[in-house]
Amino acid sequence: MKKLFSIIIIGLVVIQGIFAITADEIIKKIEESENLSAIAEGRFEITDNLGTRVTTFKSYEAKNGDMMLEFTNPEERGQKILRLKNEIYLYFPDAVEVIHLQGDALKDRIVGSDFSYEDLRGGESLLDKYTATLDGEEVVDGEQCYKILLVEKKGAKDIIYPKQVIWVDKNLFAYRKGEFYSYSNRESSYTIVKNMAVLEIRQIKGKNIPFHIVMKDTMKTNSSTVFQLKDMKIDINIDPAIFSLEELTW
Amino acid sequence: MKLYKIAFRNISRNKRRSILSGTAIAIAAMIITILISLYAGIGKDMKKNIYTVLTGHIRIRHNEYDVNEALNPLHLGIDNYKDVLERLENTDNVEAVNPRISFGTAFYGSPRLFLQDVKDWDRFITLLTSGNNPVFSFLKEKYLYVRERLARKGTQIPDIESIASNMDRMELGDVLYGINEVLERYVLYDPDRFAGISLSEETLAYTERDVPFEERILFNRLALQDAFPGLIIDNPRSGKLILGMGMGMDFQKDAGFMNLETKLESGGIPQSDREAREIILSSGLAKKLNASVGDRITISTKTKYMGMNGITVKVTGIVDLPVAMYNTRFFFLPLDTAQNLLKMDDSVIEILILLKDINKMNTTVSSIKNTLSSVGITNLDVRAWDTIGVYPAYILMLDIVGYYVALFFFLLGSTVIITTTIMVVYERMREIGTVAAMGMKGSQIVRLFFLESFFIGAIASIIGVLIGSGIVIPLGILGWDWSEGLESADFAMSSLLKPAWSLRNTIIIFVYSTAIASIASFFPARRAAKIQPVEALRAV
Repeated sequence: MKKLFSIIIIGLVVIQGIFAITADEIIKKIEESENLSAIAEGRFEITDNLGTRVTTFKSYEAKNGDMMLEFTNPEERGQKILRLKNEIYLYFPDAVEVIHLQGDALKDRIVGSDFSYEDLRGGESLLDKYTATLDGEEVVDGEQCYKILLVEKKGAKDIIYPKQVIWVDKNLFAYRKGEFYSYSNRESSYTIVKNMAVLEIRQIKGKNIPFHIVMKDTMKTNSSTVFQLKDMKIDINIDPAIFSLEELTW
Repeated sequence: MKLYKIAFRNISRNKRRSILSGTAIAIAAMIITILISLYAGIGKDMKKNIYTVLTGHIRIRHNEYDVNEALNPLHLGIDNYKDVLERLENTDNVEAVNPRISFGTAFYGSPRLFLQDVKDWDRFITLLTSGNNPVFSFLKEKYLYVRERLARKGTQIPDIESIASNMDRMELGDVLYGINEVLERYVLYDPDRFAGISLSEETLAYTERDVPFEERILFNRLALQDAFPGLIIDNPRSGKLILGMGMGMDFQKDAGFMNLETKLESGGIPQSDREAREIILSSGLAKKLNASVGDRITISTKTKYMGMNGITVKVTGIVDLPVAMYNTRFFFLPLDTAQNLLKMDDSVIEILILLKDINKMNTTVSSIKNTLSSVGITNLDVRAWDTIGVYPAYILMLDIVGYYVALFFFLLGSTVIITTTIMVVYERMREIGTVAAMGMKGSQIVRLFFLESFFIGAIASIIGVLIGSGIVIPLGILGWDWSEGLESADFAMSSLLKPAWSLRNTIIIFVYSTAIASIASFFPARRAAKIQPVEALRAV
């Protein structure tokens, strides 16, 4: 009897192990959801020592990850950010040349918000750059979440944050919260530089899209940015020319 | 015989000795004259550079700007600056005012052709307009298309028929703008077009793949270099991050401050029109960029809101600034162009004021403060230039160092004069013994030697200060070029150093040198006079 009980227990553990989701699988599920073509309109509400101001934008995203964001508020009207794979290009209406952002310039803040240009870089899966570890489950804003630790892989290039901690909604497979770290003085220790809270996730055509995000740059006092989407259309055809540097400059 | 006559006779009798001791005194007086003038020149020059370029006699800023200056806080500006300006212009003792915005920027290391990148414009234009060459025929065809597209956007570039080698630089710059648009968008290379042209390995590597947009201009430059050797040069800006310091200013109000119009090496002052987007480059910065009048340059910077903004500006002038530190970094643009770039609306960072009478600086500062507070403007900091940041410390340090250097050279000069005079007295012991044996009193001997030294000292000092002045005065007019040594120096000293000669200093140096030479003779002569004639005669 005792033996049978032990077999059942071991069997349950093995079965749970077989069906338990791994951190890599969670990341893949999120990235699948992000793989879409979309046109969206939204706003950044930026609060800092200067007060609060709003910038609005329209963005286009292709399935391959290319993205073009155009600012539409009067102060920044016509400014465009183009992401092609892992590269960021800036177009300013008063400049005849497109500026290819490289090096430290990628750390600059997008229209003075708490998002930096490097936050926009894409092109690769998180799993190509980070080792993901499932660090248990926690409740975030009343929702059960997986807590995943991401630490940069040795030799990985163009790493923005060497360590990230993300909380992924267990049901929606979408971000609920994130903490982003940089190295502190010693390479083995980290300092939090940004934290992110996703306040609203909407489901569009079966995809879970974060519609309302608050990002805080912890290195700056009294600074936070609310990113809010007003409208989003997904799985629609977008003229590939929108993602062309050539078109950007005409 | 009177003592002074004997003294003169002794001087002329021992010509070689007199000339030697006189030469030592003259050299000391000359060096002191040159050094004192040099230091006075440096101090005067630095003061002028600081108040004409950086601070004015009085500077007005937002009262929190200085504390946050390292963060480039463009939001801490002077709002509605025109109102403030009007009140300042109506204040007593105010000679001139100039509103300014200073900001750091990076010049985009553009692969586009600049005017000086084309080494032979006559040949370039002949090739472009004649249509005989297949590569340039393609360039011409695309130029016409680009011209049409730009015109639709409201940008005009010259028609191909009007292109000529005698065009002015601004027009040529417009032609080059069109050519760059072609080189950026189209690939010149085609096996037929380049038939018979030997391509370099680097160019060949491009021909074997699909060249993306951002690399086309680099490919085209290489192909043109292969096909037309000597026509264009390698891109001198490629991969370089060139930093600059922008200064938005009202060029109409610049008189008395930097006087940029008088420092123009080529071209002219930019139009005060934000749509024109024009700038002046300092000559050192232009050299770093290989840019000249007519070129278009793209700059990027952080705005008031800490976001980025970029602008392409047209170079309308090159100025040669006296301070190497400014001449390798500064560029100037109209205030409204800077405001547009930095999203500054109607604000400026500072207003500089020049005074009619600098002695009334403190009362004018008080008067300005009262004027501003009477209309409710209380967030501005009004400061006299000698209370701003590190500048007064620089000047004070320079003055102190100047005094010590002068003292050092005075002492060094004195040592030379004293040693020479003492040696002369001791050399003449036998002579002292003789005149003493002949009945000359000790006091007379001392006076005789004193007079000899005084005459030699006076004549030598006059010669010394005259030679020193003869070197310093022309240098004060022509200047002494230190530009290479000062290029990386981080202080406001002009590259063309002009010593400041003054009559007062010259008289002081003359009197001092003469007095030292005279006094130096007194003690050994007194000692010599006390020695018994027999002992003195025994001396060598």
